[in-house]
This record gives sequence, structure tokens and C-alpha cells, in this order.
Amino acid sequence: MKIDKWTLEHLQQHLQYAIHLEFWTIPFYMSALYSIVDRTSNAFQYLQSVVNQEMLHLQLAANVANAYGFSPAFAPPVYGQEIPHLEFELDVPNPVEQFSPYSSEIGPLDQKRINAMCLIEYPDWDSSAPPDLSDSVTEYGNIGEFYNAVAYGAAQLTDHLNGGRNQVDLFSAYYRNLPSLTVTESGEVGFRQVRLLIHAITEQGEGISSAREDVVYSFQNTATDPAPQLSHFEKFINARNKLPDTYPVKAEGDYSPDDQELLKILLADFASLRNKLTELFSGKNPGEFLPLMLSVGADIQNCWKHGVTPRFD
Amino acid sequence: MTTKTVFRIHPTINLARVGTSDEYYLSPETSAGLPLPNTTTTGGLPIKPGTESEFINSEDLRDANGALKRQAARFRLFAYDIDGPDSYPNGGGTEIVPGPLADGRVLQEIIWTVHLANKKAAAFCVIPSRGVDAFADGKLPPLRNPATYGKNGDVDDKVRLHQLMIDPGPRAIASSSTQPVNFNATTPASYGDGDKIIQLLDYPQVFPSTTNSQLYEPSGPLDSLGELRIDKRGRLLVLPGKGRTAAQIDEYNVPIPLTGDLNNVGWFDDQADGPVSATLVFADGTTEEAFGAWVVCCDPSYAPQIRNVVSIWDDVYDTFVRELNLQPDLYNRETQEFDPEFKPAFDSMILPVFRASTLQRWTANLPEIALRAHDAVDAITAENDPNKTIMAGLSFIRNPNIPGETNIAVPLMPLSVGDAGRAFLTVTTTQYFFLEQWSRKKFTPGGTALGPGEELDFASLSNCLGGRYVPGIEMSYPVRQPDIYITDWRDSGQDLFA
Repeated sequence: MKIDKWTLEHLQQHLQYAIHLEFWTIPFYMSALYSIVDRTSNAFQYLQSVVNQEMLHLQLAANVANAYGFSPAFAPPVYGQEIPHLEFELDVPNPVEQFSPYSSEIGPLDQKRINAMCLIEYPDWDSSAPPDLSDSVTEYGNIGEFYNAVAYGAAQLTDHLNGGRNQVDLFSAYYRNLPSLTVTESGEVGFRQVRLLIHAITEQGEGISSAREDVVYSFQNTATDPAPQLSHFEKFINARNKLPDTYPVKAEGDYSPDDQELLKILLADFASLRNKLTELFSGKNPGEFLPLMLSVGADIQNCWKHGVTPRFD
Repeated sequence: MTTKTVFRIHPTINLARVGTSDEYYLSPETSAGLPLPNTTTTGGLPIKPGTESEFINSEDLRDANGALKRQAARFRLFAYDIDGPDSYPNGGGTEIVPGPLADGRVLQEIIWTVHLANKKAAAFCVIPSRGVDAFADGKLPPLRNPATYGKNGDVDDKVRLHQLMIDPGPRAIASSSTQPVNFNATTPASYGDGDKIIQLLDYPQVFPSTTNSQLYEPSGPLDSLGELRIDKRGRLLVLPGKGRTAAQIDEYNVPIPLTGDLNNVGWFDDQADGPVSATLVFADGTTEEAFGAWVVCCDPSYAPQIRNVVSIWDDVYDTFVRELNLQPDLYNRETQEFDPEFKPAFDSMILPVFRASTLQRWTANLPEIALRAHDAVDAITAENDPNKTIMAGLSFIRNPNIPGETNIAVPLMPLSVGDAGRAFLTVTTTQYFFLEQWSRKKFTPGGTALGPGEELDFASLSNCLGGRYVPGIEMSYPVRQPDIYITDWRDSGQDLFA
């Protein structure tokens, strides 16, 4: 059934799904990132910048959600099954054949992982028509189409848009050309800010057109990105062309007690991080959130250095 | 083996810092940023003159006229009873002052001799992109002031040196003295010889005004490199110059313009350095030489409690460990490997890096993510499981053993400017080994048991900027060259006027 008039509940549900997807990508990308031995490699530097931007996207999506009266939850992501809320077969042209085999399991940066990343960020360049709304979120082919739908619904519900609600701003220092990374206004004026945040997500992720122009200048990272003009998709293609060496891994049955302990530490820190994210995006200010976020990255890298494949569930 | 008493001056390298005032405070004897017992004040603060260890406060920085006070380098004398090959750390040593000693002798007098000189205008240019590498493979960088040719235009040319050096000659002062001894042209050069101070009336003292009839001296005449004083316990105080500069006048009758922050033609300043020696004169008429030290007169330290992640101590210690066999139980010079069973002491060898990271907030406008991360680093104690800290696996530390990592910015730390030709800084190789051992849970809590003199050595150099030396602040890249620690300056040919 196709619906072209959104309810607030439906918009909020979509926003939760968007956040769920963004959150799903972070451990997946981060695990691939920290499996790379050579930190000076292009692949490491590009993936690092993508991971940093996915955290930004999480913040932006949560800010939009809060503007529409909804504070997101962070359920444990599940790996090894379908990538949540995406159905690649719906993309035109269908990219699955080009980016196969792919896997949604946590793993090192190898062909399966990089193909999955390319599919997730596959550009939605042919999007001139408004998307059809569906009551099943699996009917979006890629993140871009997903957010186009969100923007469509958000535009219809500006009466419910209230700025300044539980907004989070951790990344302004890295995006000096953007006016704001939060929603401070309400109604139609606030929607212009919402639309800016959604554009930032889609254009940083996918790029703006099939002509492969640079990411719009104002959306570029001004501090920590070795190639701010490249979209996530282009960075992944670059890494795919020259996959770097990754840490050798042990079979799970060969893990020592110390190895098991490293996994426990990662699981505990990640569980704490999920709780802190919920607090962060519901108006609280958990002071330990930022170091905890960095600790999860350190835990993942520590696992790989000991030949242990990270886990998050 | 019989026990022998050896005398040493500490700190072995100490810092005097220029200022514009006649007044002064004393060099710090605690290490920047590190915790101190029984106080919330951290180490690194200079000391009030006339006191043993009372820290200055912000009101003590300037005199009544607003002039910045100088820092005097205070040197102490220590006695060590050595009964075999010495090792580091010794852990012992007792400070001595004139009076009865433990071995029954009576120390009647200490004759201190210091020789300050400034040879910067005669030296080689600093090449920021190369640093010490500019001297690799037998090459040499260009000389400063090349138009001052002398007879053959090379770095040792005596005519050229006479025109470009500032050398008032050595000065000696007895521990019983109540008058300062100045490094100016109106004070004769002198040195300690046995129980006497010998004057060198013919010493070829040279200042910029000696060979330049006209000079531009915007802060007053550059006519002194400092002075020597004695405190009430017979210890030596070396005061620096007043931070003055002088420029030659060009053919247009104007000062030669400054063209940058380095290598300027025709400019002089009154910073200096040189050896410090002490002759012990005993009541029975015998004398003995102490193992000498060095003084460096350099820039003010405006925030002495802000520790650098890499200090001069870290660089010098790394050089001594890896090049001079300081601690064979730590590093094997033959195999060029660290001992994987060595356990660094957390408080001395790990905590300073963690503490320094959080102090950088006072020098840079860091985003909140950096501040929170640094707080988490600073919170790490010896009781924490390294794998449960933000430093797990050293995931965010730039590895000095991987050269390419000096080109990687965030998230690798320290995020500071790198050494010559390198974008970003790394900890030293020895510091990184200590961090790796900590990460492997191979460390001991507490600190290294240093003797009181060794503590002074550590404090003095750990209060100075290390890691990058083009040109550096207190000292430059020669501090990493092992030759300067094993070559006797008396035999090196550097003492041109002996």
C-alpha cells in the first residue's frame, strides 16, 4: 500500500529506523577500520573519516528526531542478518551483482565487508520524483532514498517541529562552513534547518550526482578529513581498489582467557555506550560519553591486535 | 673494592631564564605538572630567592616596575660513596655545603667556575625542514653571517669568531663571597685553580660593541651575559642576561632588518650557555674537583607547570639509554633491543605522558571531545587494567617506530607539531616502549628511586620543551647527539683562547 500523507507517528518511526541504520553502520565500519594494520594507508584514513561522519550523521538524525518530539532508543545492533531497513535489489541499477559477495557480519576489511559498505552508501542519484511512502521500511533501496522519504514526511509535519529540543552539538568545530548542526527554530523556519541536516547526511554519504562532483563545500569536514571532497561511496570505492593488510585472526576456539576478557571489555563498553547515547539524545549530558565512545574504538583495535574478532552482541 | 667519595654538581644541566629586571627567582626543582606530596600544587614552579623550596606565586613574576624577573639557575654539590662501577639510578647522594663532611673532612670553601658564551651568530644556520639531518653524510648547512668571512670563511676561523662571538671569558666565585661577579667587559675573566681564583687579565673578551662601532640596541646595551652569585649556603646561582639584542648597522645607516625568526644576519642576543665546575677546598689544604655541570641561559617560561608530552629529559634519557648504555637492563646496545621483561615504574615513566596530555588544554583551544578524552587519560592510575582504559592497545598513540605515522593527524597523539621535516610529534622510542610495557601489564606501581641529585636532573630537564628542535626553546637538537656527553669540551678545540 502506498501512502502519501504522513502521520507524526510514522515520521517518528522512520526517524527511529534511520537512527537504527546509522547506529548499525558504526560498529560495522569501525571494526573494518581497526582491522587495518597500516594506519597510514589511504584505506585507514578514508574509513576513519567515514566513521567520524557516521557519528555526525547519528547526531544529525537524532537532532531531527528530537525536533519532531521523539528521542531515539539504541537497541543492540544485530550482525550477520539483513542490513536493517535496506533492500539493495530496489536500487536502479541493481548494484548487488557488482558488489558481491557481501556480508553483514562483523569482520575485517575484506572483499565482503567493503562490498557491503559500497551497497549501503550506493548513490541514489536518480531521485527527481518524490518517493512513494510505504508502510514497510524495507522498500528503500539505499540510505539516500530513505532520507528523501524522511524529508518528504517531515515537510508535511512542520506544525509538530519544535526547535531547541534536546539538541546535541559535538562536531561544530569540524564543520566550520556549516551554519549550524542543530535545529534551533520551529515550524517552517525550523524545517529549513532540518532539510540542511538531511542534505548533509545524504551528500556526505553518497555524493551529489552521477557526475561525481565533490561533496558540497559547506558540508565538507574542515579539520580531520584527508579527502573531505569525497563521499563515503567514493572513499569505499578507493579502498576497494587496494585493500590493505589486516590483522591475522584466530579461530574462536583458540581464544585464550585474556582474549575472552578483551571481548568482555568491548561488550561491556559498547553496552554502556548504548545507554549513554540514549541519555545524550534525550536531553541529558552524560560526561563520560565521549571518552567511552573513544574507548570502544580502542577496544576494537585491541581485539584485532590480539587476533580476536570483535563482537557487539 | 674500596669505597670512593665522588662529588657531583646537580642539576647536571640547569636553566637560567632571561628577564628585564635586576630581581630574580630560583630555578624550579620539581617536575612540571606532576603531583607533589601534601599539596594540590603541581610541580614546575620556580622558587622564591633566599628560600629552600618555597614556590613563587603570580605576584613574584615581576618587580615593582613591572619588569619581568630573571630565573637564576641554582646549583648544589653532592657527595656519593661509590664502591664499584656506578649505575643509573644511583639512588643515593647527599648534598654538601661548607662545613664538616660525613667522612671527617671539613669543606672550607667551594670555588665555582662558570664560562658563559654565545656563539650563535658564528654557527651554522638552522634548516627547519632538516634539523640535525642537515649535517648528515658529511654535509654542512650554510654559515650564519656569511659576509663576515674572516681569513678562510670556515666555522673555526678565529677572525670571524672574534667578530661574531660574545665571550666574556670564565668567571670564578668563592662560596664565601658576598659580591656578585658579572660577565661583562669591566670584570676580568677568572677561573678556579686549586684553592685559588686566578684572574685572566689578558683574556680576549669580546662583545658586539668590541668589533662594531655602531649598534642598534633597542633594549639597552648588550654588555653582559649575566652574573654569578652565592646563596647563604654556598650554592652557586647563575643569573642570565637581560634579554637584550643588538643589530649591526647597514650601509644605509639603519639596523639590518630582521627577515624571519631564525638565522638573521647581523643580529645578536644575550642568551648563553657553558660549563659549570666546582673545586672543593678542604681545611687540610687539599682540593678535589667535582664532576661538572652545564648551564643554559634561555627564554622565560611563562607557564612552567604545563608539561610537554616530550620534554628535553625524555630526549636526553632516550639518547643515554639507546646510545650510551645507561641502563643495560633496559636496552641492549649490541642487539638494539629493549628487554621485554623490563618493568617501567608507573609514576616516573608512564604517568608523566598521561598528565602532560591533559595539560595541553592550557595551550590550545581544544574541542570538548579532546578535553574529555584527555581527562580520561589523566584519570588512569597504576591500579587500572590498561585494557579497560581509553588507552587500551595504545590505539591512539603515534608509533615512533613507524615513520609514516608522523604524517597522520587525528586520532593519533600527541597532536603537536613534529620535528624537522615531520608533520606531527611522536613520543620517544623509549617512552613508547614504556607505554607498550604498561599496555602489556608489565610495569610496577610507584616511581623510580632517584637520589636527591638525580631528582634535580630529572626536574630541570623535564621542565623544558623536547621533541621538536627547529630551533626548539631552551635547547636545540644537539641535546640528542651522544657526542656532546662524551667529548670533553676542554679537549674538543672549542676553547679557542686557552
